[in-house]
Amino acid sequence: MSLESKVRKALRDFPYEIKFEVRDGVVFLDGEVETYQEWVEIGLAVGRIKGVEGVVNRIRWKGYPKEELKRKEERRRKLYEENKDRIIGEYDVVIIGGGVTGTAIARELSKYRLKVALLEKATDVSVGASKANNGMIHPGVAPKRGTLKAKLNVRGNAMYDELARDLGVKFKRVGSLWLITPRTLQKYRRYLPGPFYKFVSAYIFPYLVKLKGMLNGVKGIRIIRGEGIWKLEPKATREAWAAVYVPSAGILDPYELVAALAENAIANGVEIHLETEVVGFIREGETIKGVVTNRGTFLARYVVNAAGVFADEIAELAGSREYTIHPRKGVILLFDKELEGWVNHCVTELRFPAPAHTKGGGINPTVHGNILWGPTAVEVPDKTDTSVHPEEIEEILERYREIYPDFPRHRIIRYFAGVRAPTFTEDFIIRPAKWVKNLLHVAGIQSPGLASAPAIAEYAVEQLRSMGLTLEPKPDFNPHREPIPRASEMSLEELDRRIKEDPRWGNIVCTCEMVSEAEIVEAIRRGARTLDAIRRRTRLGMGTCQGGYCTLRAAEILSRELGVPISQVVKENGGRLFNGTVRGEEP
Amino acid sequence: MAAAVKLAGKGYDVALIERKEELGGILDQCIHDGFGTKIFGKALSGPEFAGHFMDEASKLGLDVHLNTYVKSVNAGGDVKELVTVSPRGVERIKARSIVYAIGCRERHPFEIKVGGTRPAGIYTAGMVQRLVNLYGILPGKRVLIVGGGDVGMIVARHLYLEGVESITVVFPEEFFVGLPRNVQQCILDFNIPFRPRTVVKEIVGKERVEGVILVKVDENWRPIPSTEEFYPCDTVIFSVGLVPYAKKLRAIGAEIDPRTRGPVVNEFFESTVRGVFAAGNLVQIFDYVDDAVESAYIAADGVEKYLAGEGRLDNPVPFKPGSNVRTLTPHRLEWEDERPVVAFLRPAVEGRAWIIVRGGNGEILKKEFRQYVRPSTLERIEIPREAIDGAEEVYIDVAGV
Amino acid sequence: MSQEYEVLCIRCPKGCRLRITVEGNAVHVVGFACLEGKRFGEEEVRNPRRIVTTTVRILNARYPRLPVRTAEPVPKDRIRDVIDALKGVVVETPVRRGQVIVKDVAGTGVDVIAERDMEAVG
Repeated sequence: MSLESKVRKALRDFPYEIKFEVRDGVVFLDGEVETYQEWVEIGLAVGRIKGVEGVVNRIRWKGYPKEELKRKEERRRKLYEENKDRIIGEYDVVIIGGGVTGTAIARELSKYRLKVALLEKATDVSVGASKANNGMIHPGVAPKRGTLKAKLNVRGNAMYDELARDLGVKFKRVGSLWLITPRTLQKYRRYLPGPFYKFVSAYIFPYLVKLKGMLNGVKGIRIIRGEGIWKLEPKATREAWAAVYVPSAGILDPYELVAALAENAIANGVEIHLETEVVGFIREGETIKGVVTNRGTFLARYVVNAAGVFADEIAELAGSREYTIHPRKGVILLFDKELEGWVNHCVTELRFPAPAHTKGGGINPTVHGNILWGPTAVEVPDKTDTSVHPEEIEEILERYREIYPDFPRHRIIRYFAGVRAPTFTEDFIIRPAKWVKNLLHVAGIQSPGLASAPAIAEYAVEQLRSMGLTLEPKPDFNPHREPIPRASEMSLEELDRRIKEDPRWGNIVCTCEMVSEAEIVEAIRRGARTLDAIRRRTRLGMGTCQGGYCTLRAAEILSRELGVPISQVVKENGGRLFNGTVRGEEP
Repeated sequence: MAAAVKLAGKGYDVALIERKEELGGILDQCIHDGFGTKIFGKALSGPEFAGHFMDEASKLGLDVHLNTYVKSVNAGGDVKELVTVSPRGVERIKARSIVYAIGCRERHPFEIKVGGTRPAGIYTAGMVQRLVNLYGILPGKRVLIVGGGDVGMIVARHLYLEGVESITVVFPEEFFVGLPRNVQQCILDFNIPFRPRTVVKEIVGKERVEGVILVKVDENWRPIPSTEEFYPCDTVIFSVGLVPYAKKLRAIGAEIDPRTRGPVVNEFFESTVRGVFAAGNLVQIFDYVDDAVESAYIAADGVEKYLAGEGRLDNPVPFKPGSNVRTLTPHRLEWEDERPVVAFLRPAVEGRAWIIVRGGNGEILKKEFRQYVRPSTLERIEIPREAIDGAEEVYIDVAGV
Repeated sequence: MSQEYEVLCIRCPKGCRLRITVEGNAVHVVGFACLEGKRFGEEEVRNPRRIVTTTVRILNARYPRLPVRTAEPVPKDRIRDVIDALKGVVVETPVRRGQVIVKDVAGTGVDVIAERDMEAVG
């Protein structure tokens, strides 16, 4: 059966007249539907078809933000015209996007004699999905066999020990524990009468999970039961019939990782341009000559599109739109550090099939001692929708209540949402663009994107080589990056020594997390320009009181170090922290 | 500071450790008047009230460690050891007894599960007080204040007078829960608009706050469906309560009362760790600074007894909140002493009422009448030791009239 | 002909409910717990007054603002004038608590005083 007829067949399930076109394995959809949810479902139905290499979903739904997109387009065009003739420099590779993917590729490229620029439109790296995930380094059991995801996840996971050591990033292989409970196969209960239900759940299903993982190349998976479970997780539910234990699962602080990747890339010669937004491309025939931004044009021999949720728009601007991103929001709840020890592994309850909104989520410890619940998985039309609705909080609390019945759920200190960047084919898309010669797509990097990042970088660089980029190793590449020393973690002797050299080590600004002025100044020296950038690098204001005491003191330090009035200090991106002075007087 | 001054006055060798650059805690940001009516007999501002104690402290030549953070405390033995961090270095301080007076923190919007995004433009009331009164900076132009307590009202007045464009106060209760005087002189005097039975459901905005979604609530504070309304503003200030900053005490093993969220204490404000005392808003949220100071004085008396090795009761008498009492301190009677016990309780009802102290079998030990009690006002009652003599446990009730 | 008012005393956090009766020139107040309250009640009907607390700009101090207040209550309808009169006032360190910052502010006959000491820094 041809691809066309398969697509036609898939579209028959929907009560709409959807037009489509297939070009080089990419399916373009057009038409109108009622709801956004249907827009997602149709895209997914087509994306599932074997042989489809991308789905560009141009179907409109009721409420499609036509005007808003038009304004966005006009703004881009205006910025393009204003900046296209201002040349900033000439680069071998320009990377678009400063998330974990972009920074990992930047660092990987910094191993070679190349001039590399990374462009990020925000005021800091790591501000998209890379800052708002659960920090889990997945073992690689979950991805479908044979996908790029499965391959890069397992490989990426294995690379983390060395990478984290090199970059001075805290990384713990805590292992994951997937509980099998009376709810696991609930949907199949009616096919499994009486004792069969428990037998299949406890004695057959876990082995299927193990087999799946083994086929993906994951090592060390064990099935445990009874006391074996509670020895690892003393407070987990006594309902558990069995558990799949995967020792290679790990955790880290995702923005510590991204900041470290960025710092190390810079140390090895990469330029990182913040507040630099791509608004278009200068092309000659099928070749990109320059990347136009709000600050001017970066001439480029190769361009890497690692723009996360915006990757489809970048691809379109570049002339090779091969996929559409359908943003999928994930809400995470963060609990007080004082609960450290309540949960020691990445724990979840397996459900088959997975519930729609909480697929892939669970309960994780963090390297700082907090505990996370979540994330959820909800399709949202807006790529920047990081709102958390009160109902979503309750949904998460309800979803995992049963596996930790006594957990002090009232001790939430924060919640947040990130937006994943899946395409309709749901696998990573890391390949040369089909219709532009020197553009590499690194798109659709959703979960387990963090776990896969080092392998994605390696794979992407291989792709660039195959596209003709010469990779000549740099003998002076330095893989090491020193973390910002933390007053809270150093010995008293070391702290005392540092204070004697620089008294700012003894000025504790954030008392919940014990962050000193020296750490804040160091974060600023390393490129933090906003309050949130400092928070992410030092953990300032991340504790019990959530910045009630330290925010102003940190703003004062930022104002002093950056030489701007305190009223100009920024929280993140365009958001000024304060907004005026008393009676309009000089502060 | 009050405890240190009192103990130094008694001749003890006292070190006063403060994480900020000056003494006085949050009084420096409370520039409004109304402090100290019980102690000084006149209404002072926060800085003035603190100033009196600072003068005392400097007269007594207290050993004051400013800018000093207490990293860890070993409170187990007879000699307690503190490790402090300051711009002078890491230091170890040995003491026979410790009084914690580290106050409270503000509840933040995450604790009341406000949804939406977290852009710039969201503050707690205390943060705004500091911002406006110490730095002369306004948080924004169009302001929504969440919470009908005293701090929220005081901040509303300051912002109104200092030049914001618009201001509205919302709260879930029927009416402001703060002191009537603040309702009069902060809100009604200036006709500042307010909306009772209203809460913030979600905050809207990407980089800066663009508005909030308000929703009406019923008498149980449950949102009423389809009463959502978008309210445009660039600033949201939360004044949704204070919580004792008890994590440091919990870290040294002190028991915490889930009601007050402060430490469990005996009649001299001693925690469950012997020789470790607590005073002020760390114990519970005091509405009057005068009461907070009294708690410090009592704790200082306790330190004196502890250092003198005075006797403790063979059988401590538990104090328990009875009917219509939300919180109660002390939690137990533990020392041999002559002085009356000072108890603080937060009523769960409003109006004319009796405060009744009774024993475990219902026998009434003491009764005091109050013209007007309300949940937002902490009540103080003195109970003579003789009244409690022989009781195995003590309950305190509030009975409406 | 007598008139009756009920107001909340604002002189301290207690918030006594005062019942005030005015008969010609005589004012009768009940419900107060202290003499301050009695005085407040008498004034509140004739000439409601408030203490105004705010800040003024200060140079070379730890913080850029100095908290100040009116030494005595000023007429309620003059609060805005007092605030406006303080616009542009700049104080030099050092300052002592109680020091007069502005004499006879906005013609109210009341001085504005510093609420705290402020030393010179740097």
